[in-house]
Amino acid sequence: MAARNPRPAPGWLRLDNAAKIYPATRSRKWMALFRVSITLTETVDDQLLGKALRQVMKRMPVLGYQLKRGLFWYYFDWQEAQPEVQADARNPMLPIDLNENGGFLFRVRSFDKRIALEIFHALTDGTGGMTFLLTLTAEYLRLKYGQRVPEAPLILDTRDDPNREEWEDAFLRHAREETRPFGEETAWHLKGTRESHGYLHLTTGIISTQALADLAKSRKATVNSLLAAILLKSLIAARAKSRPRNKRPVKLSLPVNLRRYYGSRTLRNFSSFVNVPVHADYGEYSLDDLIKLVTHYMGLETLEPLINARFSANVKAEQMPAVRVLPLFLKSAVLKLVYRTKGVNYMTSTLSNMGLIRLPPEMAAYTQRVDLVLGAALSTPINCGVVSAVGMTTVTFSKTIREAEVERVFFTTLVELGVPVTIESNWRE
Amino acid sequence: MSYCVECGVKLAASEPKCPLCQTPVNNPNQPVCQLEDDTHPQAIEEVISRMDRSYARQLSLVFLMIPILTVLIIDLIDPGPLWSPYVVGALVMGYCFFAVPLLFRLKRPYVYIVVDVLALLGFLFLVAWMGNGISWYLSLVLPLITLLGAATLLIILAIRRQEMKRLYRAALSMSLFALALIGLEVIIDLYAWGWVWLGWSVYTAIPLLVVALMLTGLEQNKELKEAVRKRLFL
Repeated sequence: MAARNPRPAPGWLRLDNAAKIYPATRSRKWMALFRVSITLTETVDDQLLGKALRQVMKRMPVLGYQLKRGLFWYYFDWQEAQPEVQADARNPMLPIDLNENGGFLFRVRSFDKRIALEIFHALTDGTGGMTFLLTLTAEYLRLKYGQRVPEAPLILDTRDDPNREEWEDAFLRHAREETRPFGEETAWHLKGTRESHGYLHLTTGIISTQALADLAKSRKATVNSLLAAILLKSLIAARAKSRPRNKRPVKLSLPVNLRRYYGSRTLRNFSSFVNVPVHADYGEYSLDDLIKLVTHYMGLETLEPLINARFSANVKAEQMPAVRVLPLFLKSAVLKLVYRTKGVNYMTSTLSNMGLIRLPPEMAAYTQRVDLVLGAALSTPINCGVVSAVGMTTVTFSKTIREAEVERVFFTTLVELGVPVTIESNWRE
Repeated sequence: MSYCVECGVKLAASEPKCPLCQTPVNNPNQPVCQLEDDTHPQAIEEVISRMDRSYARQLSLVFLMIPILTVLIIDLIDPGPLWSPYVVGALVMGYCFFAVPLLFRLKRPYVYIVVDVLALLGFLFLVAWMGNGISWYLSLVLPLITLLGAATLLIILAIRRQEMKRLYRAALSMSLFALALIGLEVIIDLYAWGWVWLGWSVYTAIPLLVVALMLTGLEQNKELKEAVRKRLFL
């Protein structure tokens, strides 16, 4: 591996406020990963992709760190190695072995026409991951066709120097004194036949963005509210089928990109989330009821003062002297407990919609589609990633159980509403 | 491309059945054998099964050092009789018994047995030395534990010899066990009375050797073996 010199970023970094929980919850069997991928119109040249990757690492050094243990906290340590392109697998997103993979906390993989990035959430969020993938693709296309893709949202110019704002902990910068309490109602959790360990099922629905937008418009909703409402409807159906013994609500977690509030340029984590609850036992909800519920709940919960008070509570907790002086092994145990009791315990599933990505024509001409895959865990066995680009919206369900009730209801509802859906999956016998 | 007759969704050309409801695709224009290339790779990755043993070893040594240092310091401060070597020895022996097999993943178990025997001998030597009982240690403990360790090693070696037939292995293990029992009585007799008069070990060894002989005979007589298997199968 060739050395990367001179160092374009600090020698070490503290983990940002949202990242701190992820190393503690990591195990040999599970790691908080997500995946973004782009499918091109031609087969990917791995050698050129490797060259592009080395170039992009200079522009986005924030991804070039490895995770290390300190006495009190985990930290990111700079490393001089260079990442390499790996072959993609049918079962993506296995935990990254920190002693292998060159110490990197991400994998760049290729298969046929697809370039995929699998990344540890401690390093960055969806925006950071997608920026890396699209910048890498732009650089790859430049090397292949000699035409530079212009700078655009989520695409950086590799000729620019990295900016120190790109690795700032934006939570720390924007947190205020006033906080909101953490407590929420425990969510109902979906159960099913567990798939053999290490196999994440992916079922992708490919939908026309225009058809989806038209449907949302006809229902006086945004695409995000519409998809969230349909997913809630699917989860309620799955709950009814499971005959639950408790009256816990179905809760859908919707991530919120905080950059749109504060204009931050950080490429690290800077997102929060809102858990939308539906008490299914109160009666039957129509799709319009659910759209209304999602729209109003999100409208209220994403007001800047409320969302700020929410993440400020996390920042305040991190800065408490009693928490700071706790040795790492004790802190990790506490964080793991917090994650289970206050994190995943409050959600049934997650729907992450990256929205519409407007690719420059120079890139769109070579792009078939873009995908987002979320990880799935024991208590949240099914999650959904949505992204729209080049006229296609891909809705990918990732799950650790074999039953397909949730995605079946989701996609058949769309078909019933007049939106054609094409399905593909990584199922195997 | 086909549509699922149950769900109404269009299926990618690579799907032999609907991923949502498992209904098989039945398209005469595109039989399953002519499906397009899969959009996902065929290669399936293995889950990492390796734990960070080197880190666990370091951590376990740190945890071992905490009580060792604590008792050593207390013993240094306390003017009473010396007792910390007993605790330290017991801790080291316990570490060898329990931590070594967990933290040092070896293909064959012989090293674990050697380590356990050495740890036990070491600890008992410490006890004998501190209690002025070296003669007791040399005449009884050392030969007895060495014999039992060697017998265990040989029995495991016999059991693990896959190329040897199962009944032969069982016969060999029983014979070794019988010999170990006789050796045990010899050592105890020599220590207790200075001469050997074999008693209990012979009564145990003879049935064991008889069973071993029967097993050997049974392995050689295929018809008899088959007849026994026919009547005793589970």
